[in-house]
Amino acid sequence: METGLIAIGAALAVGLAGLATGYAQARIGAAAMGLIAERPEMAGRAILLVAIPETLVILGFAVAAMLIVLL
Amino acid sequence: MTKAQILGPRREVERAVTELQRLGRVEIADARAANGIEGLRGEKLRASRRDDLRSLAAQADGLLAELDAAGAGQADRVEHALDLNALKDELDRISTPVDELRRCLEALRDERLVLPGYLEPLRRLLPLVPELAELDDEALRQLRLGTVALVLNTEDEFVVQTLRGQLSEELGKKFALLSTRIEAGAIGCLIVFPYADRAAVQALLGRAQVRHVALPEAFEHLSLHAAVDAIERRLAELPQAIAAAEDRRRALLVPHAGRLRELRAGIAGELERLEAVGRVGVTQRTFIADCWVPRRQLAALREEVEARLGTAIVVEDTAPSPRDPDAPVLMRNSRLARPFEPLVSFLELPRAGALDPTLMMALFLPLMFGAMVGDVGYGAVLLAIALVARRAYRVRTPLLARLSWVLVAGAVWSIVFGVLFGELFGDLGQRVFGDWAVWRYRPAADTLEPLLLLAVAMGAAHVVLGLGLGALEAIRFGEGRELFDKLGVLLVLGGLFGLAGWAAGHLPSGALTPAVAAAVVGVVLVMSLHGAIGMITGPLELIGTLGKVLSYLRIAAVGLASAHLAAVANELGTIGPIWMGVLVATFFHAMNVALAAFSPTIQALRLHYVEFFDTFFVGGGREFTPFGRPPGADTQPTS
Repeated sequence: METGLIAIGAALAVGLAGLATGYAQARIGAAAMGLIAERPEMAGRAILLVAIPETLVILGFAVAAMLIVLL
Repeated sequence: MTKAQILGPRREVERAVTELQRLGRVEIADARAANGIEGLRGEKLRASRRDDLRSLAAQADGLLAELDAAGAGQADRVEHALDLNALKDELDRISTPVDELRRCLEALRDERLVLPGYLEPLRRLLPLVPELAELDDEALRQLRLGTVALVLNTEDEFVVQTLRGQLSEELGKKFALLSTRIEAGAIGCLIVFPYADRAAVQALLGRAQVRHVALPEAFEHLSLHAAVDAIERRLAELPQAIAAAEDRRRALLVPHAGRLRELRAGIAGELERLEAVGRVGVTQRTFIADCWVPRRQLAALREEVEARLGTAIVVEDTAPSPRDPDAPVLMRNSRLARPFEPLVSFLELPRAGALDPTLMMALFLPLMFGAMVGDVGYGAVLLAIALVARRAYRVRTPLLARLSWVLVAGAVWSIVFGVLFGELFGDLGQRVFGDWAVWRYRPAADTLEPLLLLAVAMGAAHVVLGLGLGALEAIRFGEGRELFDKLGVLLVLGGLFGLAGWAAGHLPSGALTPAVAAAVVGVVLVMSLHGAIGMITGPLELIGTLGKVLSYLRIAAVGLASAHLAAVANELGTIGPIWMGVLVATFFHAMNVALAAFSPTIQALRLHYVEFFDTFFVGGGREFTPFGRPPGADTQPTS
């Protein structure tokens, strides 16, 4: 029972963080594609901006890993 | 990069500029404003000539584009002043027959687009009047009949009824109106009426603002059947006619390709010279040209200027500030690090005088890539792909060939980490040889914690290195505030790592006090540097730095996902007969290799661009573009 709850908690940590990252990346990505279409030389900057929200899911992964390792 | 000032007698300015163009070593800056002197007279004439040259360049580019050929290329750009009239005549001689063929091609392509629009309505109308469809204009006239075909852009039959009513008012019962639905939103109609009433019908259609289908002239006087057949034949002929016209156009242009490139290079060269001459400053008797040149090439420039222009023209080093914001940037790295330069400039070039992170990227990017892929088999496959790509693209796309070295380095590190993790196409190695991991097999249950620690340790080392480099840069340029900011963050990180080590039992209890002290001093230092607002921004900056370190957990996350996918591929391979298992496993491994080439590259790049560069990198540099070298040409000097 306890293992199952830990697993659900870990899945929620990664899953919700993944959804949040996806939402943020979708919004930023659409704007970034518009930017690249007008100014291709800004592609590097645009990719950087798209990559920033990924930290959310990595932090979710860290929380999930802590739940599994420490509990 | 330094700024050399080339001074000489005013009468020598044209020759000096031409020789500097031949040398291809310097970038000419505007000497007028910098030295408070005037430019050469005749700017209006030069501007007018530049406009003429640009117009001719556009004409030459248009012809080269028809050949799918590159523009100026590497041809000699230094020629004497071009004779614009002769140049225009020559380009006109080449382009006149080509323009005729272009017009012919456009007409053929238009025909191919337009004819199907006539064909469908006619095909639909034919069954309505099978006998009438056999009659051409002449036959209809002999029968004293006229016809008009219409396309109504509506699906509403009421429009047809209205038209029928209006025709009745005009012609009584002396007409026939047939209609059918052609496609969604369009009704085709055919009106048959006495030829004598043709004008009245046309006037009625004009008042009702209905357009009739006017066939192209070639099909106008044919019967409906004959027109449909003729349009179909024409549509079948058109692809061949277009291909033949394209071949003729190419045959006209190919003999002139070399000359066109030569002319385009000449135009580009003179445009460059005119712009360079406009930037030169002059006094009553002398000229001054400010030139950016790589510092180590200054001596060679002096020697070459003296050899080509004589001792009357001298080169002075103005020794500008290393961080001059106007200075262009030329990255200079060892042969092994050079393939990584495009990855740095993809984000942006370092500002003049700032640290070039290419070497750091060359060291750490493949390492992180390898830590994520971590499989001997995948590493070997990627190595083979990279070597083949390098051979294939060496001539056609040198940039891709250079970047293939990045993949080679990443693949080698993948093999190294593959040995550490004991992975050969996932757990295939474990199944065949038993546990052969030098360190730990990643998907094993007890490996998660050490793997996470490894990723965080890599992140901590990388971020601390970046902060250290930032501190060194701050010392180099005497930026005390920046230096203390970096030191404060380093102290906090050191203190937190000490606390973590003590909490995990890896450090003795005596380490607790210095760790707490370092963290507290660091926090106070960072907060105090930003004034009152530092009470908020200081802790936020520190949390951001911790986030940067934790962000390296993606190395473990992406690596674990790849290892589990490989294990799943092997597991699926055991289901069913051997041949099917091999096929299924090969398919999933191929998919995983493709992912392994893509995802770790993006993640490793992101860790550099966002986490690492943020600690020390100062971007915003402008690329050094030597006068006399075409854009994109190798900027390494040649003798």
